[in-house]
Amino acid sequence: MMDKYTDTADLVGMLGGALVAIGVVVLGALNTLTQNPHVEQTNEAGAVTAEPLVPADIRAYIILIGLALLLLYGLYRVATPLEPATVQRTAPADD
Amino acid sequence: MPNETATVDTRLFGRDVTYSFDGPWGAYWMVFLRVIAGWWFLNAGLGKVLEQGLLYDTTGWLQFGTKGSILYPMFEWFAVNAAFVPNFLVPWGQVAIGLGLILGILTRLAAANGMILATFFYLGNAGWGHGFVTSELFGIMIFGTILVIGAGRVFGGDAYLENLQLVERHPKLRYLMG
Repeated sequence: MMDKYTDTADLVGMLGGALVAIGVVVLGALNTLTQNPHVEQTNEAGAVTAEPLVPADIRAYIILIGLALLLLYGLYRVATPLEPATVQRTAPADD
Repeated sequence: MPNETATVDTRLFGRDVTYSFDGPWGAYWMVFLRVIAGWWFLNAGLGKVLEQGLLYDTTGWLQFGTKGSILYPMFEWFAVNAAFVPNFLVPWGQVAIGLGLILGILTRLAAANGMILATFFYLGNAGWGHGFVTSELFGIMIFGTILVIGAGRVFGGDAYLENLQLVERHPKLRYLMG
């Protein structure tokens, strides 16, 4: 997976994105496909009538951790010395 | 009309990825994205400033609007102990982020702070009444897109700022621009 242009910090940042996708998409799909609601349902008396398969708070924490990893990645990039660019990728000319 | 394409040369999971798209639309869409997303926050911030002046009272939302959300303990602490921080940072942060994006000045710094602010709005969601895919989540994604693709370099102030001697002497400033 890792190549000379992608370091550990990049992978940590990308893991953050993956966690957001898991929290929003994968766990959301689990709830939807099992026909469970996304949040706890209550009746007028306040009694719980239906619960999600994956609690909303768990999903929210996973998304929070993912976004926090992306933030840490950004801060790390700003805080560490800039390495000289070894590869200048440019779009080839059309002609 | 000659067929013009732009080619993006990037990399995913260790593999080279090269793809092309219709040339003129890349730069156009970057500016479009910046202006619309920037106006979202600039309008929200301006409205608060015009309504309540320097400080905007966020304590009602912090203490009652977010009750039950995972960030509620932090929000409540700020509402009780340091309300001036969110009261100042929410309206003026929105104004600064919006201006930065629309003008393309310190675009990445503005977009990163937009992501942070939108994260607070997103995870301050108590009850998730509208599901997990909300406008705030899309805000996070749009700001992240602007940050990743260097949208400020097209038709924005960063294209000029990056050529300043100060930035050439301190190349890391480019992380905050473009």
